[in-house]
Amino acid sequence: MPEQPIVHPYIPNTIPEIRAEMLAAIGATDIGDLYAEIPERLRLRRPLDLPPALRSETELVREVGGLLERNRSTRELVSFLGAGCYEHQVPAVCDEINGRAEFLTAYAGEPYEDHGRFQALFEYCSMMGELLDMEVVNVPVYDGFQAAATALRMAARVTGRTRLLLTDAIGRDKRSKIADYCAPDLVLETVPFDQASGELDRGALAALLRDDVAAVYVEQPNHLGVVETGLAEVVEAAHEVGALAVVSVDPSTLGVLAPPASVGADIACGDIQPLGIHQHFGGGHGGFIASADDPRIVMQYPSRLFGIAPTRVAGEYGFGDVAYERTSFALREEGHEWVGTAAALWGITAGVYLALMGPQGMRELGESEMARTHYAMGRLAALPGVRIPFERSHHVQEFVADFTGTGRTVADVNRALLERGILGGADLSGQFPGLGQAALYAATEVRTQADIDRLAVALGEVLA
Amino acid sequence: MTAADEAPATVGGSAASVPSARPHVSHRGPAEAVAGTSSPHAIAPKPFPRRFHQASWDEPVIFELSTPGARGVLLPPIEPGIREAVGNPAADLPAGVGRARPPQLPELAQLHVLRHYDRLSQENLGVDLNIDVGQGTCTMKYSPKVNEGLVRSHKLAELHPLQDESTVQGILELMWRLERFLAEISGMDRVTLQPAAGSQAIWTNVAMIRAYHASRGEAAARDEVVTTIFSHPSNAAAAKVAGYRVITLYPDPETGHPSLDALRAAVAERTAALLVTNPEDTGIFNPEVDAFVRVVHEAGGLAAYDQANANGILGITRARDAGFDLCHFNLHKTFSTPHGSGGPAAGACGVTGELGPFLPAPTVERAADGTFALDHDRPQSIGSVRPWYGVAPNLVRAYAWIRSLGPDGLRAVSETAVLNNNYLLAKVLEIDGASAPYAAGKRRIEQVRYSWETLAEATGVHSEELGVRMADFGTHYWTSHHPFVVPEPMTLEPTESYSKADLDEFAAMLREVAREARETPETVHSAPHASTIHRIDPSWFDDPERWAVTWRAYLRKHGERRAAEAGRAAAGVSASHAADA
Amino acid sequence: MPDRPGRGASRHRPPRVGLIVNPIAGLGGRVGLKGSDGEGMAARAIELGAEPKANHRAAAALRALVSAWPSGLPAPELLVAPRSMGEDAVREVGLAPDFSVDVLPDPADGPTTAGDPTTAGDPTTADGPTTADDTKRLATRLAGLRVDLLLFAGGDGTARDVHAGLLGTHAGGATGRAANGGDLPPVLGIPAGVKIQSAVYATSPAAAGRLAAEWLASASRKTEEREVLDLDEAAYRRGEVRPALHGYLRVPAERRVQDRKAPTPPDESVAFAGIAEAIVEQMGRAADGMRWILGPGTTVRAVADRLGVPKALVGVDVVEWREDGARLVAQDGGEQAILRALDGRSARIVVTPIGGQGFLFGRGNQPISPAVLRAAACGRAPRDTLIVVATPGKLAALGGRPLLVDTGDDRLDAELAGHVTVVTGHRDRAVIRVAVA
Repeated sequence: MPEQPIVHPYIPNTIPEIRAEMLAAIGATDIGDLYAEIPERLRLRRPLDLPPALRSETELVREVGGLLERNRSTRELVSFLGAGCYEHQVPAVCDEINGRAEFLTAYAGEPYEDHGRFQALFEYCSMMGELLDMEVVNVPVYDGFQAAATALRMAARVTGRTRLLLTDAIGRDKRSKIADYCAPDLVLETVPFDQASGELDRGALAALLRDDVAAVYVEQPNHLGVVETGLAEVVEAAHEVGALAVVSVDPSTLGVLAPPASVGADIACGDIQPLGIHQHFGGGHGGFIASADDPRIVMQYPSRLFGIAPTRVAGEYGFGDVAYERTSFALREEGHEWVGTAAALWGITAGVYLALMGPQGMRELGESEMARTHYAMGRLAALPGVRIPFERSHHVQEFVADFTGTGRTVADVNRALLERGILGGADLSGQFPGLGQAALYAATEVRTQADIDRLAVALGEVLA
Repeated sequence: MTAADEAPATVGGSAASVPSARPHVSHRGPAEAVAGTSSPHAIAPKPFPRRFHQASWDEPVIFELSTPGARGVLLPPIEPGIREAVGNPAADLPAGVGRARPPQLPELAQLHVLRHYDRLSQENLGVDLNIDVGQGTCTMKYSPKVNEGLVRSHKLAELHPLQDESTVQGILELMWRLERFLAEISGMDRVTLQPAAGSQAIWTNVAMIRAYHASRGEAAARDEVVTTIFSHPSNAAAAKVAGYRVITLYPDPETGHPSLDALRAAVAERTAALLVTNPEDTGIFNPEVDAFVRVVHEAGGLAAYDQANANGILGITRARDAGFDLCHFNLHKTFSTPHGSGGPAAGACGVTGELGPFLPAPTVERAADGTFALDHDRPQSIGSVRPWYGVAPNLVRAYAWIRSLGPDGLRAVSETAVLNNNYLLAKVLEIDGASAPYAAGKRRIEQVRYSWETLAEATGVHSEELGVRMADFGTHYWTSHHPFVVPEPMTLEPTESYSKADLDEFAAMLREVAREARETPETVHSAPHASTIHRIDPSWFDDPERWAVTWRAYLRKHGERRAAEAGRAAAGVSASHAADA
Repeated sequence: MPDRPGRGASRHRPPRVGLIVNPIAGLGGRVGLKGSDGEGMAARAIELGAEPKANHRAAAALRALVSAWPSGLPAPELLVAPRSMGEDAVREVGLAPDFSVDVLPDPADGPTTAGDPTTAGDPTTADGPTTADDTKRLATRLAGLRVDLLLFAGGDGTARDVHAGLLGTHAGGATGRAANGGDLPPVLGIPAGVKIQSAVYATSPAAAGRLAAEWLASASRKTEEREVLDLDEAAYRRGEVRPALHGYLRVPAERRVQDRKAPTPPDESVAFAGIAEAIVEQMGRAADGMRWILGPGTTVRAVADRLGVPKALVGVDVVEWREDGARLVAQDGGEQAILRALDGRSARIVVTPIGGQGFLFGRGNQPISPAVLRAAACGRAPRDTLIVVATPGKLAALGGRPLLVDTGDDRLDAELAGHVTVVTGHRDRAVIRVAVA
């Protein structure tokens, strides 16, 4: 059977007559002519060894959808996982807006025909600024890891110093990314957390602080779910030696927690995934960096800053890149930070989320997370052998549960929970061996009392 | 001017505003010029290229739409049982730890949030709306809608990255298969899908190069990387992040790509790697690329292929067949995932077996029993370059796209992209004032970096001004990375998604804008005229006293100005929305 | 060298703009005379039917300035030269009443210096001849009136005269910087001449007007130093292109459209600082007491700045580097002075290409003669003594064309040809071909 030429729905100019017409217009006899500059010896002389095309959408959905069907989502399982990626309520309007073709399929147009993208991102930054109580917020970078690493490099440039003091209550993969990004010229040192409270050990911090420290980096709440109630003192201690305080914060907690700026933190950073973005198997991250409107710091942002400006028509708003020609990159860092395609659509989405939530919604979100988390702490603490090591500290949406006393490993417990349709907390035993067989349990606003009770019952069975 | 003979003579009064001296410029867009009508009431016959006006809603900044007390969305209530057990822990936060003052976020009902953002979205162009061939190097192509439906399934969107592997076998298998597809397309042995975007993929390759040389005890001895000026600047940037000195090759004025002699002069025993794009951003394919790789190999270096410009060579030529050790693809370019107004994107790196041990951890592995697992235990790995395992939704989209095309379809993609490009090249070169520097008369692969130098010299109109004027026709184009090696540049990449009629229309718009530059340059200088807004005063952006990155900064610095303008507006029209808090 | 923080746009004080027009610029071109500089050339051009256009071109620039001036900022005050040297252009545009315009007194009223042959009398008006000296005196006067920007319409000879006039107001001499720490006022050329080699001109009158408006309105008012080049007109009329470097003037840095898809293009000052750092690191690795010949230009001056030694901007200096610092051993030296400074020892030569054509040797740095090149090499290949420095922007402007050498010694030129590594930043190099001019 003679082969039919494919006219593919995604490739309009596969119509044979059009192809012939175009070839004639450019004086070519066939498509092969157009590859004249690629020598024979570099040509692939066989078809690619790939499965044949699925011609119809029916076949495609059956095949790809079928693969995805084999996953079990957190809608089917009850999940207590967090550790940097959280299941929150995602308002339908968030998905509606980030699915709009105009935003979804645009890229890097000018602030005229793409005015909407600039305004939406300016508004995202503005709403983050309200949440953070800061006047400068960047257009999103890849993720919270990148935001923290960049914020620390900015602090080093501002101060001209090279020592960085990092809390030990930080995810190990995040610390590894920061270390990698700050090598080789910046030196990272670890400040331990207090074994009783889970908060930063301020005595240890004082011993490490000298006037060669560029920044003190802490997280609020920290990776162990503990609220740093001494944040003001940490910031003050940093400032006393001329260091900056860089605070990574979960924006979903800022309805109830004081923003880092309120205690004088210089740079805030974090991840916007909790703000209306699905978990996406870890593919829904975007990073923010924020500060006061201090040119000393503003000139150190390597990433985009969108500003508002007048146009030639009174009352009209225009937008563009602020301080575009930032010139203060230190010599060692020529090209050290690049601006590429990062996470703009997630920034727009987070803006939609904050507009929907408003001040009341954010307050209720924080209160709900705190209540559910403390309720879960109480339920787990009541189980024999289970210890909540930082029980007396404040938590917002996560806490550590130590299973050492049960004689079981976290991996073992989680396997058994899964059989009961539950995803247990993230296993910390590898990353924080000092905490024993510890797991990090998250209870956001979507975890009901029934979910938590079910977890407690299941754990009771598993540990019996 | 009266007292010219007296010195110094003051002519006129004190300084005042100048709009009276500004030439009158039509705000009616290009249609009027084309149709040649001057009456504001007559509607001209439908012209070619089309008349266009971008949506212009005069949409306030969202804070101006706030009504205290309004709610956009509610949360699940806290159950009485929880309240009884724990009370309100938020109220127990110590002073200074708990939030004292609520954030001044806007308060809107749900429809009003939706309407605001729908309006903003309308004030934006995407591939779905315009002939998006103007954003060269970005490979703006159709992102199939069927794939959007797939990634919105909770079976993907609601997966946590730390779930037990037994519950995520579908996505792991999809990732494993996509890696195999990209290995076949590039000829490489192993692929990682972890990088978040193209620049991070380049960084991943550089990190692997550094780890490879370190494993051979040559980390210190090999401290130079060679690249070309028409490769993406992230190649040089990532190399410098990794501590390398960067040597850049400039094009031969005839061929448009660097000569082998220039490469030989740059390569030495210090060379760690060659990082190169081919075809380069000019669309010119370097036919000696395998010789380039050989020269670098002979000096003990590695060769990494930036395949950002792969859209014209799928199934035609492969990285491995030219001898490369590493390569990377931008899945949001060649493999159709949408650009999302600037991300999320996705990158993929391919390596030879020799470099496999250095891949980022974890890798996706298939066990003998056909199940899939993440392998974190890779002692020589460069570690993790981003949280978790990659931008999963874009991996699903790229997989689905490849499956919908198959091997013949992928080849048709590339052949058509090249056909479209050479067709548009012929069309653009017919326009007086446009040229395509280098390699005269030769075929280009999938894009061309043009020059408007002749036009700019004749008219004083810069290429970027022509680009802004294109907005009045419902599209746009991009110039080039800096520094401008091609003067007054314009980079066009007409991917396979565009029809012949699309290309004819785009070329007609360029021709029209070039004609205006010659005949009525002020129309171009003062563009846009048919856009959402008018020419922006950029002087705020570099003035710390005036720039405003957030609404609160704007109110602090410009509150008085805003109040005055609002007062003027209110005098004319009754405001339909409450002022912000 | 960009850029000290400038007096940025203020909402309170209107900017002050000076304007000088060389009314006879451009006369020669249309009648095939290749320039109007030189005694009698202007008159000859008029005889051949040339019409003076310089005032129209200045007027076009002013119109563009007015059109691009942002609303809300006080309009600039113009200080213009009388009659055909500026006033006519203002009159043509009709700036009053929106702009305040002050006309300067006739330059002929000032002290006169000996006539200069670069520009000749103006036979087109009844106002009497304008001379190169008029341009110089007007430039001097406008600098004294502290203009924020000096616009001038003309060609290469005019730029040269403006440069000379501005230098006369300051003690900075060839370094382009006044001894009292002040700088020469920024200038911008409105192209009206036949031959424009100097990089101080905008691409068109309209472009000059728009750039002036945008720059005056901007907060930072960043400037860049650009070369003042002029051809030997007599040689030019014989068909030889021999541009010579006369000095540097500060011009507004053009704010090109933002590149939204790539990293911020580094400011020229970043490249300068990086290049200087790279060279100083290289000095640190070299033998103590090594002599370093520093050629002319702003890029090389950045090296001298980093070393803390003074630099002749258009001349050649020799420094000796030791661990405890650098020491100047010859300043602004001719060939013989440099040879003496080398004292028979090998040396490294730091040079940057001059002008748009990319001349490495033979234009503007003649003191680095074949004898100096061979002496510095001390028997090795002369190419190995060279350290070529250039910003990426300067190399990009070559568009792939080679760097050129024209030392006057064919054999040496051939030895210098080939590929050379150019230092473009701290950890940035480029490989560029060198060809015989």
